[in-house]
Amino acid sequence: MRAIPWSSLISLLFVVACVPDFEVDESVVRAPRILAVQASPAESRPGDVVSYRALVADPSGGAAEAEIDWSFCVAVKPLEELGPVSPACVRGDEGALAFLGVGDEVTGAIPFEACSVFGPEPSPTSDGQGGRPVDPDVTGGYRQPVRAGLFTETSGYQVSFFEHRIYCGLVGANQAESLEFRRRYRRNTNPSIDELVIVRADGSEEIVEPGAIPRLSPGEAIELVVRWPDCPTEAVCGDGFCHPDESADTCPDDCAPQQRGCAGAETYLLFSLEGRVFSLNREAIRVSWNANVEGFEEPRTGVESDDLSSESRNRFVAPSFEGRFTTWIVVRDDRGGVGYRAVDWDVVP
Amino acid sequence: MNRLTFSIIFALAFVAGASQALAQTLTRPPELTRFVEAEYPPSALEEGREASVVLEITIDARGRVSDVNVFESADPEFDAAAIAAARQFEFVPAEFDGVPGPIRIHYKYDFRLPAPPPEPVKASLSGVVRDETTGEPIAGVTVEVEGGGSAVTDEEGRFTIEGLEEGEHVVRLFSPAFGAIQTMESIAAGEQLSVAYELSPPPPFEDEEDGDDMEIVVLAPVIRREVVESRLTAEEARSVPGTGGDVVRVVESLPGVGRSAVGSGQLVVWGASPEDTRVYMDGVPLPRLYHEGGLRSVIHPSFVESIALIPGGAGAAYGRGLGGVILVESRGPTQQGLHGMVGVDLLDATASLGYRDEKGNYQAAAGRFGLLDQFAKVAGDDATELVPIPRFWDGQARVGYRLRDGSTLDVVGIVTGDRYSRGVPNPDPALVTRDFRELDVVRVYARYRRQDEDGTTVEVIPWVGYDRTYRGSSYGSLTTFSEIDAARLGLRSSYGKRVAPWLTLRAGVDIELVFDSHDRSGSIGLPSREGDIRVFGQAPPDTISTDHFSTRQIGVAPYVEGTLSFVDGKLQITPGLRLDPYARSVSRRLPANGRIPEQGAFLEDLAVEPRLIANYEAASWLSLRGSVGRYRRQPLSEDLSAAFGNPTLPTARATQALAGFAVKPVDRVELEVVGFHSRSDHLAMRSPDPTPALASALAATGEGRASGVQGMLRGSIDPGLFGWIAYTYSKAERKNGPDQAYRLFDYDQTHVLTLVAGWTSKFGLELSGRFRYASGMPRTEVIGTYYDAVRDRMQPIFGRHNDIRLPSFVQLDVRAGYSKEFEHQAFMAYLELQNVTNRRNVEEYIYSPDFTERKAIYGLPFLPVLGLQWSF
Repeated sequence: MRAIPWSSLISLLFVVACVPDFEVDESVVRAPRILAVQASPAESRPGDVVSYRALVADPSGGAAEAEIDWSFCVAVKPLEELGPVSPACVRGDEGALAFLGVGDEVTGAIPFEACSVFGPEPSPTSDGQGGRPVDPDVTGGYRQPVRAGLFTETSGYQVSFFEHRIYCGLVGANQAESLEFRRRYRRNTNPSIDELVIVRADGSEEIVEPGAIPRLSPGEAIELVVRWPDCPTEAVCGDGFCHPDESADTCPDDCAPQQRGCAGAETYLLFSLEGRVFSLNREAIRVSWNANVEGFEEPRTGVESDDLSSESRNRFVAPSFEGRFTTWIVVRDDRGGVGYRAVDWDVVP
Repeated sequence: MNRLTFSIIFALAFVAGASQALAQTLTRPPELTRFVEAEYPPSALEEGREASVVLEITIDARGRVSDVNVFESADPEFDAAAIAAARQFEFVPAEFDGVPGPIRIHYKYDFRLPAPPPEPVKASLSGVVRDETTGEPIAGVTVEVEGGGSAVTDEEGRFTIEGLEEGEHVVRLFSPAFGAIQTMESIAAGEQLSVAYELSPPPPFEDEEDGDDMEIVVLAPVIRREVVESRLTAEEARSVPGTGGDVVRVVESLPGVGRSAVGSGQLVVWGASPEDTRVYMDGVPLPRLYHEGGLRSVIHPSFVESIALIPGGAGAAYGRGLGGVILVESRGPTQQGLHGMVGVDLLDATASLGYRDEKGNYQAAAGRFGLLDQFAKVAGDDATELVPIPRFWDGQARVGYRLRDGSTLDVVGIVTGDRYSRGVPNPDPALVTRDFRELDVVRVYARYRRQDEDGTTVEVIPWVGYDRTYRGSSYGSLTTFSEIDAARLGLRSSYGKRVAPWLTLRAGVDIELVFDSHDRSGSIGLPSREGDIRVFGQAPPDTISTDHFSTRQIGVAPYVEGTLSFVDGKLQITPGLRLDPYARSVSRRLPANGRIPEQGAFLEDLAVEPRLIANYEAASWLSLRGSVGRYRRQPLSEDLSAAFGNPTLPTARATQALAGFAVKPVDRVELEVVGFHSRSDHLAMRSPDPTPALASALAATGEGRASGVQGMLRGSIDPGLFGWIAYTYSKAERKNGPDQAYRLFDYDQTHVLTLVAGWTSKFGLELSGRFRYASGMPRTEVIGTYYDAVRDRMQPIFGRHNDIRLPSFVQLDVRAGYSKEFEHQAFMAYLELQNVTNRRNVEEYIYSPDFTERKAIYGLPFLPVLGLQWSF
């Protein structure tokens, strides 16, 4: 139990006199499970061919012997449902799912009706009235749910949902606003982990190269730093990022023949529903820290959208016993982009 | 003033020479025509000395004083004072043989100390209190003359109160078993007024407008306008534990009221939603009864006269709600002169000041300010980080006039304010949460009341008000806020008259106009609504919308009801009709769209709401009662959003039927049992349609039903000991749409039991206790999970809606109070021990992040609350 501060009688008076704390370390992988789903590309139009890849973690640390079945969820989520997807898709009701395939990675085309079912272009209702468009998320986007069913011998069948950002345009915008949106909006790019750095107790830093197996002493406390690309916030032609204020005409280096994204906290165009104005917003980045052993101080860290930092830190204490363990580090941006990296570690005296 | 008496002890006629004296005869003695009062010697006055001085005064032939000498001395001071006064005397001259002539006389001055002012002639009030039905005297009734003493009726129902001033007096009759009433008596100086009060059989549920638990039968029989009404005076409520000195909070202990979650301050009455129970102060609607956190009511207790709860079956005077009605009657200062009060306890500091003149006119003001945030500052940031600390204040100013025709006019202003904020930090930006709530309420009203000798009553209450509500929250990058500014005005007016011995008519009008503007942005899932399937702490949907709109709602509801009396008034049938024409305009018919010009919506409706109430006094100890009625409620204005709600929502409707009986097996004990059933429809629910039409996020598809039985046993053993047992069994259900099955109402509580007992000694000591038991509220079980790979969290899979319950709530509170009166002051202290058994009552379930583990959030532990109050 975690007692709320009892430093005064005041604490006695309020809504909760004692809020229970759960001894659950969310960072520990105790059973085979999906830790992340990455869509490529991170944002697509209806009809676009996309691929989905799952990061599956196993408590043993190796690759899980898993079988994943993939489906698009095509059932509309009613307004009375406060979860992210329709319960019919969770249950797997007939007609609620469009089968995609089986495997760690699948490829398919986004349903053509995605922007009417999950976006701002609703079909008329059965009695001919205009349908209610789906509300956008806080980044102005819409999402096509994707269901991933994982079956393992040890844990049975587990359902996960990923929501793939779909490019649909704006709800309630006039022609000029829609035109400006199409001109300036840049589709999302999956974030990536540029660097994983170990900061030891003496302050020394060590970059963990892909495929490397770093060593730690039993019980050694380190700080892990995840770094992602530092995305420009201003329109500077030639910086490798097609900023919303650049175009193929003004900056072909960044925007032609295709718009170049940034695998970090991107600046993107946001349409304010309330003020009906465009603004530039920056993605927030979240980092999930997972391992098949205990040791992370926090299961998740991150930077908010107004934080220009391009790294996130977490403390880790190595197991007290010798052996190998695995960590899985996932970075997510606000717009549904995902990047991850698995690292094996050796604990040696 | 000294009092001077004088007397002529003798007159000796003489002339300037002795010869003349011997030669002439006194034919007319001198006659004093101008008397001058002698100044009482100050030192003698201080010392309390009295004296007599005999003067020898010589009066000439023209009647003037020509000389004065001391004949018999008292002391020099008295002598000088007497001489000075006597020199200014004037006389009609004495006559000798018919001719005026000089004369010398002896005068005696008596210096006497001034007597104390005469005692005002006191009056007295005596009489007898009888049962109106049986004629039997009623013992144990406390009769109190405001500012003039009190007495308790003896076995013959007699009482006498002496030493009363002349004038109009408020007379209150109180019996713990029956409640309190008041009337006016006009008493002349010295009058020995004898009266006879006839009380109706002492029902616990009375006329809602008289403020009486018993009625004095003067010219008309008792009219019962509500089938079920629980009313307590402020004096009764004050000693009930759990209220913390806030008399209005006694509502929680009344039958029919479910237990609300600690801190919510919601009122759940007979299975109705909290917003369906209307709160009135002197007939003026208030948006809520409690401050944020539910620790205090919004009405300052100094000016509360009584609190009444009508859980259902309200008469035609009330509408616009599908649930109960709470009536708070206020009053001005009750004592003549300048009086005030200052109090403090753990929750707040309070003060009031009032002046009442001998005619009953008054001016008064009161204020209250929450102290919790001040304590929290002392405690440090930790105390405010996780624990929401409500800040609140309220105030009231009022003036009252007693007009010449006996009518009264009160003008009252009320302000209340609430601020509440909480923030929960987290290293994960997606889990940082913040919560803000603000509410400001202003009401100003005038209340004119007149009651004629023939029983005719007139009441007019015009009022204006302003409400501002702000709610904001953020969950990670998801920010939601709602701000509502509402201007309100209305008029409540009624006229009652006994048009025939068997018929009393009452008519009135209830007008409410609301003009409000809304700004709302954020998730449609916030705030949560009744019927939502969710668990505590669950993140809301992270999709957002926005809307800015205004509404104008006008309701003008005339009503009429007539009480038909048969069988010598034992059978009363009151048919009533309330017409509620309703018009509404909403500035946005459709969500904002850059391609479509903005258009509004207008809707009008006429609600016909018949009511029928019947009461039958089958015997002096048994009465039967029942009612049936239709009720309507306008949609909440925040539900009229084109983006978040539905601008064309119709009025919600309900039918209520009640039947019950009251028995009085022995004196001072009464048992009342009422069964109830209600059905409601057109309730606004989240649209179950997977593809709802534009501006139809809410749909009037909800239906409800509630049934149950309520019992209350109330009594007293002697005037100082009282108590009641209230029990309600109910089952309340809802269904979200016509194609869906009924499920338990979110606030359903099968069993609610409340026991209250109190004792007041003659020496100012009060002891009381309250025991409460309530079934836990329904919750929906989590039966599985799926992984949300976008938000990196587990999401719950729910079982059947509201298929499990929180554990039952059990709590015992006790209170000890002591009051001591000095000459012009009084001191009161109380200690309330809440949850004395330190029982861990479950207020909510909370789940681990992976939903594999469920634990409980517990309510308040053992909590002592000490309060102090000084008044003069």
